[in-house]
Amino acid sequence: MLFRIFPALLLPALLCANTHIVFMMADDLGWNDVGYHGSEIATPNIDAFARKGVELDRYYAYPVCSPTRAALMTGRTPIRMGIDSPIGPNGGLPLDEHLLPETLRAAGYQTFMTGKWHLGLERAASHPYNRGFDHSHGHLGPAIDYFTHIWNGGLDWHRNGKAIREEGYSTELIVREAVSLIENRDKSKPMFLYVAFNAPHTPLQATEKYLDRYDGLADGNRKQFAAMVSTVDDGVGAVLSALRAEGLENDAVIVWVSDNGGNERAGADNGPLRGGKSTAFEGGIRVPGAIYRRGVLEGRKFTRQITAHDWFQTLTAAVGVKPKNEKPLDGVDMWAALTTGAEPDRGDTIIGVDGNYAVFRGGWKFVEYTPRNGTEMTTHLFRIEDDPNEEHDFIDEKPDMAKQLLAALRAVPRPPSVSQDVAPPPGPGAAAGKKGARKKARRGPGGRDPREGWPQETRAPWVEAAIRD
Amino acid sequence: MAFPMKTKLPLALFLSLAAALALALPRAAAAINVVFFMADDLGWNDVGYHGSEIRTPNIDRLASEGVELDRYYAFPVCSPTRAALMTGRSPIRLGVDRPIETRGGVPLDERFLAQIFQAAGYETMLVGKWHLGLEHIDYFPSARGFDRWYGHLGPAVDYNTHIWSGGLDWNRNGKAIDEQGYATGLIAAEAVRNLRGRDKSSPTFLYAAFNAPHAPLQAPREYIDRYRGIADRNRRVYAAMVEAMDTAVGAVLAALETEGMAGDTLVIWASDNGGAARFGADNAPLRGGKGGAFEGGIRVPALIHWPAQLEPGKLEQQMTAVDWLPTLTAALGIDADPPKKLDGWNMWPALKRGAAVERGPTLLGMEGSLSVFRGGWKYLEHRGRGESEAQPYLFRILDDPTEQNNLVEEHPDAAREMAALLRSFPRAPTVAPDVRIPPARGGPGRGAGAQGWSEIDGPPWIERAKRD
Repeated sequence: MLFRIFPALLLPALLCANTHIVFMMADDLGWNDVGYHGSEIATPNIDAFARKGVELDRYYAYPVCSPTRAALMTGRTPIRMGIDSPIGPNGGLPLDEHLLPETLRAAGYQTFMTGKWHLGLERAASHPYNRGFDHSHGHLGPAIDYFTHIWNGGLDWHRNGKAIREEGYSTELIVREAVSLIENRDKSKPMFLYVAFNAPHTPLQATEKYLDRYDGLADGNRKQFAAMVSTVDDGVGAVLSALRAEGLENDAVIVWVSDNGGNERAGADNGPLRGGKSTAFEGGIRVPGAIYRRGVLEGRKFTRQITAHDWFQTLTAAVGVKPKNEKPLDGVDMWAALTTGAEPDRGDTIIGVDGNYAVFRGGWKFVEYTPRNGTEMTTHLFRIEDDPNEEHDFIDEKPDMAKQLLAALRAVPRPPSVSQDVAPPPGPGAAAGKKGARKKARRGPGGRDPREGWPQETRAPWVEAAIRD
Repeated sequence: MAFPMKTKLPLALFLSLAAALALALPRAAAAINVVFFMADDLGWNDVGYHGSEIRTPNIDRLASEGVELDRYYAFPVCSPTRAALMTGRSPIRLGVDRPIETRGGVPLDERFLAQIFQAAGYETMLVGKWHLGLEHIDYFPSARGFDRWYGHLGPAVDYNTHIWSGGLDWNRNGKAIDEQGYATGLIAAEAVRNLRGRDKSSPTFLYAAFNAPHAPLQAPREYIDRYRGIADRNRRVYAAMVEAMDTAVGAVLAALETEGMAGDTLVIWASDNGGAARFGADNAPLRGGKGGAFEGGIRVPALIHWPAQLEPGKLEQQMTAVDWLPTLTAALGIDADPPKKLDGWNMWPALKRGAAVERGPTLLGMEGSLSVFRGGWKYLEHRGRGESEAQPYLFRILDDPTEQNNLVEEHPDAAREMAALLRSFPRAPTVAPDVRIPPARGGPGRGAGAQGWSEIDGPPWIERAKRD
């Protein structure tokens, strides 16, 4: 007859309504630090991911780590939580905030994180294992020695609240944990996996294997940094291969982003954008990002603005979970815009940290800038879509527009900072870098040599020292 | 003793009747959702799974997991195919023999598929293109079985301004709306919104009729950028429009998954007619295209996807747009209760069990280009552009799918017989008199086909409709 049917197997995966979420974040990686932006740093895995998925061309994070992470976890602007600077040894994300892993866990997800938390280490109640993660691993503070896993004299490496001593370079340990979590997950549940690389944040430490790839670069910060980024790139590749090997790639929303602009005093490059980490110029907040979802987010570039505080609504919409957050969300559900090109209902976008804010409205961007170690704040106004590198300042030509945007900024409630600026007393080893004291080396933030790690342990592990009540 | 018996008996009778009724109702009818995706003017070689250079990963996946309808036939232009889908009756019989423009519509005594779904307890939604009448509100989707509808009523629309020929044609539930955005994305976004906000106590019938990739040739830059390698401008933009439509299909499929509906949903994706080559479509290797009943105009990509019931494969028996109504109602166990004779065949036994369905002669075509299929023969009377009279063609269509050998002279008896058969089908005078819209309004008929409509010369089309 004219007719035949080829027998084949049914695809059970199709009947499953559960979509995994994998969120990978680099730390202090700038605009020109990925291969697909033309960098001299080779990031073939990240490039392939951005090509395969949708490149987020105008993805905006906050200028420093903690606010971006707070925005990601809460879907709310960190400004209204008092998270206006990196969280140090004191303070943390307010405990009455509801977190993304809590919503996902309530919806039946298993929730995993590995890597950098940076949303509070003073109190155990702030730690990830108490904030919705079934499994957490990594470090709690702002930075870490890649080899000793010490921050400021105390070991900062834990698994589920227990200090652990693991041998190895932190990026590779984070990847190892992520792959193991993927392989050993509960196959009856969807998975939320948050992989927060501490790299390429200072200290600038890399392994010989990766440094060898950059023989062509002169010794110095950029070479160290490039080797660190390459390690992250291989890590991204390893996580993606594990997802593929487990057959999860087609049933997952996968995101890769940086957490803020690069620190140009520590090897990063935000070119051609203006400014860098800690500022609200584009170099501080417009960072590389990409998202993949089989069939709907493939092979394109998304040129509308999307921000770190949009993830909560966007990812829950992507997987069909209702946010359980009772407080008003500040983000926008960008899922329809990403997948169908629908016009998102965005009002003003306000991003920044104390003294360095940006307000976007229409094609305008208003910037407050406070130089490092300086007290004098300046204001700026750009037509950001036509002038992405912020070369032509309209602040004098368009005072009314500047005034309106400033008023919008002032209207955002700003409670006192949750993180008082109390630097921990430096440990005795703090001055000694990996290659010995480098008194004349370029100084990074806080006056430390950006290559300097923390070789010596002079206090109890941070996780054990946390207040428990 | 007798008294209570009397009161109980009707109750018992009622209960047993109810139980019998419940058993008689096929289980499938209770909860199976139906999503019918229609693409507009998409040709044979415009999907990835036919080897096209256009990427359609979502449609390809549906095809590989579902049943590819290899010899699926539509009518050569939009309105007849849509009328066939909605009525299960030959549009030629109904007088829907050409695109409906500003006048006319499907006769009001026809019962629509959406009304049948409504009667079976479905919530019914249309997003996208209607094209079955805008002259009178009685032709509107709301009057023909759709609980909710969104999109445009006419033959085409500017993807960005949502204007057709001097009037806004973008509406939700009977009201013109002024929205920003690319039509394909808006249609998908509305579909997703509707699925999320659906009445969870009823099954859903979603008819997602994309206007893409119908002219005007307009696509978002981000999609056009993916086809830099295509030198021909029309083809490049067309490819982008198709991929955007595929992504929109993916977005709706993703919503089915996240809504937990995917396992209980029958999905159909089909084109409405062959592609228009002058607007970038490609029907290769088939002959002809949109507007005629050569294979390129009527044999189009289509598939049905229902993993719970249908094994992946390919249906090689002929199936047509008229068959959907009897096939779907049979598959879902819904009583179609046709008040009039259906012209389509129930193809469910073929899809489900591989049974060969006994089909009678099949009439496909439109005014000026009509064909009839019987056995392995296809007979066609086609009036080409600029020709005053139709020419006869006869093909052994199974052996000669690309219509290379016209056998009219070699087989005059067969040709004569088929010509008589062609004339034996009932035909009504056209319902859509050819009232051309004023020429000064731009649009796909003019220029390179790239331009849309930006000028408005009157109220939205929906407000111009007659109401009594």
